[in-house]
Amino acid sequence: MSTDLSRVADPGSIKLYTTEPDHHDPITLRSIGFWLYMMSDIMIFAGLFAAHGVYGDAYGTSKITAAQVIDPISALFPTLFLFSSVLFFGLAGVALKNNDRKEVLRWMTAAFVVGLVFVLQEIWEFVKLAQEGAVPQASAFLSDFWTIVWAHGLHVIVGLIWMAVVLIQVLRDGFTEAVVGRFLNLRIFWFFQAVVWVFVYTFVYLMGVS
Amino acid sequence: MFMNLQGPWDPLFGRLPMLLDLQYNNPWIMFAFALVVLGGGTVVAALTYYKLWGWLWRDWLTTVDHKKIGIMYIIIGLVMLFRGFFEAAMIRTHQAMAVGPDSPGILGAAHGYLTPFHISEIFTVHGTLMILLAVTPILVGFMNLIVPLQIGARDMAYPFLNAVGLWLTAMAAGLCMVSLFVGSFSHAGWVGLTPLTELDHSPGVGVDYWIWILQISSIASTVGAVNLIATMLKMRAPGMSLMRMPIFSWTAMGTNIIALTSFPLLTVAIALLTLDRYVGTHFFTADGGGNFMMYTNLFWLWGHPEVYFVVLPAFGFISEIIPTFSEKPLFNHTSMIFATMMIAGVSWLVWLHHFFIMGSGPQVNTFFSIATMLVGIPTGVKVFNWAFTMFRGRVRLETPMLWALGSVLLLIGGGMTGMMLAIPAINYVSHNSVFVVAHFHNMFLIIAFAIFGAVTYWWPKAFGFYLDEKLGKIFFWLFWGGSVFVFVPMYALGFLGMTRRLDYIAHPSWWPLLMLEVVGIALYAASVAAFVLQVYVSIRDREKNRVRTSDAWETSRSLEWATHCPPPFYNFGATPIVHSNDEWAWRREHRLTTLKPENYSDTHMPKNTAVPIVLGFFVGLFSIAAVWRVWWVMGLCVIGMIATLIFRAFQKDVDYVIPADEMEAMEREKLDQIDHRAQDSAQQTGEMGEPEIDGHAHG
Amino acid sequence: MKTTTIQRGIAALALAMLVLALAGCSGSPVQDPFWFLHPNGPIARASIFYLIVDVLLLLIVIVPATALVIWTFFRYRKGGKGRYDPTYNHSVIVEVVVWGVPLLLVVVLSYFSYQGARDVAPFNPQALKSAVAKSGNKKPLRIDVISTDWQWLFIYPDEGIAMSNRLVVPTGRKISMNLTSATVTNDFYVLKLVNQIYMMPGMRTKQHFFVERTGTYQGFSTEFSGPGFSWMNYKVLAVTPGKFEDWVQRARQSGNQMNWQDFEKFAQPTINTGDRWSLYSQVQPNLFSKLIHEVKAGDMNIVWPARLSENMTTHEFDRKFGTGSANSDKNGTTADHPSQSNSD
Repeated sequence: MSTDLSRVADPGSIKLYTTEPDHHDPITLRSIGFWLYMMSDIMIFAGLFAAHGVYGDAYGTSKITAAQVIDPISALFPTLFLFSSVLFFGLAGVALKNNDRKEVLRWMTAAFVVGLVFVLQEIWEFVKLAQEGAVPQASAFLSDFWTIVWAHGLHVIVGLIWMAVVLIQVLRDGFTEAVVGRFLNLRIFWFFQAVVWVFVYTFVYLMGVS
Repeated sequence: MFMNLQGPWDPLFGRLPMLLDLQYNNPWIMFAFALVVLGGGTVVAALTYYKLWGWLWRDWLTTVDHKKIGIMYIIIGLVMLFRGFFEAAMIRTHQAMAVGPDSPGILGAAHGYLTPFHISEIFTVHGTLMILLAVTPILVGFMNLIVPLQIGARDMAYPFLNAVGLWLTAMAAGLCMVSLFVGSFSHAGWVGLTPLTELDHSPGVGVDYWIWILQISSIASTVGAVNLIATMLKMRAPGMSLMRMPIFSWTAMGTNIIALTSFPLLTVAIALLTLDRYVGTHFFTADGGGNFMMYTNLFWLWGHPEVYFVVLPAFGFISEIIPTFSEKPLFNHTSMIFATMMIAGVSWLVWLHHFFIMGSGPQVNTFFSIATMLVGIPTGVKVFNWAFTMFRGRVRLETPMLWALGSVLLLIGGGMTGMMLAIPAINYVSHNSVFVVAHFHNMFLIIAFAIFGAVTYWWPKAFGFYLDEKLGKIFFWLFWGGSVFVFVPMYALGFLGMTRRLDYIAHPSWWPLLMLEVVGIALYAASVAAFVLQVYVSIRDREKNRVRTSDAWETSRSLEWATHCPPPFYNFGATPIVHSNDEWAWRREHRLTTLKPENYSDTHMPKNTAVPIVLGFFVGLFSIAAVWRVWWVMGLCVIGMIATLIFRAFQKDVDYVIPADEMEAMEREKLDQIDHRAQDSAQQTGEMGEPEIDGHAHG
Repeated sequence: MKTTTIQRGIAALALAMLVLALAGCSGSPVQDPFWFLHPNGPIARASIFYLIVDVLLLLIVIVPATALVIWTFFRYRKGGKGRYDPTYNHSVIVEVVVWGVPLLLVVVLSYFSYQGARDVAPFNPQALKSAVAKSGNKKPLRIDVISTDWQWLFIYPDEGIAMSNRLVVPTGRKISMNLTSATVTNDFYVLKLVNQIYMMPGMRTKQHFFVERTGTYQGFSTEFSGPGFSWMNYKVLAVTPGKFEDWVQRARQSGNQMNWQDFEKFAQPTINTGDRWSLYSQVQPNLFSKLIHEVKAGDMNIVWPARLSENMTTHEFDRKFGTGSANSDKNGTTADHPSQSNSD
């Protein structure tokens, strides 16, 4: 038993119920939940990276090795795109702080376009790989390579859809509580994609060829 | 089509043409089908006859009220539990028949009455649905129902997400029911033994059903975990520090931390297996550089935490019931919280004990062995603290307490066998024997006992009337008898070397023990009847058994007893302020049991929405299309899901305000129904020490 | 009061029926081949030793815990003799004891856990050392074990012979096994004789054992591997070294061959319901390693029927999987297996 209030001198003075309306800050509440969701997403990538530890050099009978399909230098381009998209989104966040709707819209559009370029570039890369016969069915390594890159890619695509929604909402409704909440969560999500890409680049691309 | 599937496939209907080859000549399928049609038909007819469809849609299917969602979760769980029991009965009776080379075979089976594929499907579906679609929904349902009430919240942090979780779970359960009649189910064990689940060895649609059931319920559990943790972190009533949170809420916290971090790993494991089966990748194949032990590792990295995910809330139930019926606070409250969190933490380090015999070195095996035994310490602490809670108490043997005590005794037995299996040297002779099966059923029975205890305990809170006490006790003793008769012989059979998942029993000397297990199953069947009768009788006599005060058991301890039975949709007329670990007991001791606040204020409540059930519909259709590989329907469903979510994002009118005067009017009506004399003269136990404020009744 | 009376009654009844069951069907448990508490051989015995140690140590906590729960419940039931004191809700001493004693117990158990894990480690079991030394450090007998859907093949590479669905081993000599599977994971286990070990396709595991007494034992798979799993029973005959040599000589004269093509035929899904076994004298020397290689390369073509369904009757099942031994025409006669003390 807690001791502080367990013995009460005058029960009449005890306040049993609140007299004010409850107030839960909806934006904080949303972002708490979103951070929790991010944690489960981190576990998904943790599982995939653990799998990469197993499959990183599991070529089976396939002749295609990591060094043949992975080119860290050309992968610098998508890296660049993704990071600038995140940077633009960050600038949109700064503009939000200044309550500058036009600026927010401008930076978000920039972030969206560059993000889209990232996805298109990635699709192009993998179509090329498939044409060379480096399909996911060829070996466990390639299965893993495709899966891990496209698990991230899928996140980016979802992020882009989400960004489009927020973009329209900022355009239509301005900075309402719901829109700002969504915007801030998207910022967490978008930054997280950059962080994951750092891991993908390090573990899959750089360590894959070394 | 990427994969070289056996059998017909066409672009419009996918693999559905396979169905044309099936013959529905199996009487068991027909029996189950008749049962489902009869049951479902009765419900539909009743709803139509009493013109209840509108009520069902408005009040239940589109609700975001955590209590109704909780109750629906529990109903799904109980229905699935019922189906799981049927499967258990089939396994037991079949095995008792199929003993020795001379045993008879009927209905096309060589021995017993189930053909080899059929029995494999039955034990697979038994495991899958008991764990993921029976126990998990019931526990999640209780957490939904009780946690917000216990922490003095009006609703969950994300009521909409809560409904999404419910409808995803409902779709997984629905998929499981579909698999009973359309196609077949996985035959590869509930753990999905790779490479047996690969397309080469399981070319049918069964494993695909299993995959999507696991995947959907895994996502639902993750969603639910986010919601519950955020609720507990942000929505607690003023004055309730984390350490003052009731113990059941603490176990819910531990459980959901486990769910949040472990279910994603199941998502990964199942997703990779899905790619293997649908795209032809080489993650878990024996060829192409694949490594199927990776699946086993990933699966049990989820699977073992999942064990604690289901057992912690059960410990929470016991920890709520024992103090109430011992009329004493929970012994060593802080220690209990610490033990709960320790179990949650250690659950991450034990997964390899599911395959000690893989051939890892002794150092690796010993590490996991010690980690496993570490779990025994906080569990032991809990048992002792429950005993010390009864020590110097006044133990009342009402039905919930009976279940809780049975649970504790089972925990001692299950804990002992668990510690035996934790030693690798013992595992080398007992792995995959029915000794293991008896052990984990023993552990799940703890949960079952705690669940039925919780059902009895919180029933008056949820519905406003008691469950019939006499039938409840009959139910308990039948269930207890069933457990003893099924699982004591099973432990013995484990020592005799019987392996799990057998279709045919080669050794006739096991027969008497198998027959004993059939006796146990008969007792279980009787207990199911007793439960149904108990619920029926209680509903029939509900006016007689009505709860007259907010505190149905008169010695309850936490905040859920500080509101009406059943609680109104807004939970509390005004949010209570918390002063103590056991707030309701504290108020009772100080004669502050009034439910009437000084004043009411405007209250925000979420509006009902049909979005979750529509989303659930798309997910359900997607999974059926995926099982039968109808790609175009899958595509449409994905578009549907995205469109539904975008629609929700553009919905602005999602909540409303109950004005203070309206709230006061509703509350006045409810307060009138309370027996104020009983409410105010609640019996005091003197647990705060010398009473100092005698005679100062408040309100 | 009701709890334990009925509980005890049920427990006693169950125990009585258990004893009756064992006595009625197969004489005393000791003679029953399905009773792993009567091991033959150092490894199986080591496992049982640790089982007993573990249980005895656990009773230190289990007995007081059970007694405490039942006693407190009796003593402090409402209207009982116990003094009611609801302020007793915390005790540091109790806390120290209930955390400390189980912790100490786990420390002690950890020691035994490690010793046990070393003693029965399948790749290098310590428990065999003294028995091997006593028997004069004879060269271990090598056996390659292959599981298929759903039969067994035991290859004696040094002797150049093989036997399907039956294992013959000599007493008094260390036996080293390599194990693999042709399709899905199985789990090798001979009750009372050899501890379990996974047999995984494309991988090799090892297990060792040492037989002390002659006799007939039961081997089976313990990892579910498909519809024929329940019938993967086989007999293990432990014979004296002299008889083993005689058996090897006879086996060499069987004239059956087992090269890769024969093996591929043998490995097609087959349910060996009749406990039929065959001897092979001309065995391709690298069959075991070739199998691992072929499985890894994805060249093993084991085709299961497409539409596995619960409606498939055993009749259809028989037609598709050809119940019975693939080599039943080459069944060994009684002359081919060693005579022994225990009845077969």
